[in-house]
Amino acid sequence: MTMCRHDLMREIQTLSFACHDTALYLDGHPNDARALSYFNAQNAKLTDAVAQYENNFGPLTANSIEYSDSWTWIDGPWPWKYEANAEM
Amino acid sequence: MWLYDKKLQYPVKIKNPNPAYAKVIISQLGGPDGEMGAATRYLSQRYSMPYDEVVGILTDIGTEELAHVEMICAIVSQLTRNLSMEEIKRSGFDTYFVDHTAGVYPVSASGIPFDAKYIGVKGDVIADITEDLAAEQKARVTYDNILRLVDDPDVCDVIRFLRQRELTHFQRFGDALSIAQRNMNSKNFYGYNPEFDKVKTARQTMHRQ
Repeated sequence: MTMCRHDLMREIQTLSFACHDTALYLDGHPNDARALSYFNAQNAKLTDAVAQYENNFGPLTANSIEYSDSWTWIDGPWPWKYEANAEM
Repeated sequence: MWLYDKKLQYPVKIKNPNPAYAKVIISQLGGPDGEMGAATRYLSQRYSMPYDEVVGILTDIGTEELAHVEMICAIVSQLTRNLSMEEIKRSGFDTYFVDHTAGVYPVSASGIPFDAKYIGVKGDVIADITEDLAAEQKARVTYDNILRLVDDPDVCDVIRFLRQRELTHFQRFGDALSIAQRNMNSKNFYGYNPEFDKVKTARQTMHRQ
């Protein structure tokens, strides 16, 4: 099932925040097995969610652009626009 | 959102420390035409920029400038490693050392800390893009002056790379200015500011169809 753009973006924001916050903790606790396994699990989910988003709604990084006739990197809305953001 | 890539854009490998060189090169970190100002200028201007192509150029060049901040810091840090007190006093690095030891702090060569007064965000397409064109040329001149002052191939190689990027960015901001002008009223570019005024011209409506 394909989620809508805003729901999928919210999912990516949640997963990437979980990865990032865990990474901050791991910087100071590099051998914490529980944190490492939590990071890996969230990061795997994040990779899937990003692939699903990019296949349906366009690139999140310039390097992830698939071949196409035009450079879709510049297609709006840019992330700071009101319409680009999900209702909370 | 940004993610950090654990690599330099171009390698920095300086065999011989030289604190006198560090003291002039640090201007491209915290000086009036330095990389910190460049990144801040472009990444700030993009929020009100109405044309997606130009927003892309500001975002991507601004991001590259953050990588140049890191390269200048790498140069300064390698030039100031393993210094003796004698070298610090003899080189003139003592006036920086007294406040910052061998830490990397954004100042100009003459010791003035970084200031947002070095950048402009006017909220006007033509004013901001022409500022960016001038900024790239001013940074190019600073790199030319560094090449006149520095005689170390390890350092000059990296400085030449950074200097070349200023020229490339100048070209890309030239593209940005053309794109903006194509979308504005060619009879009077100054009739309205598309970053603020809501007047729609036929040409603007046709934009990117």
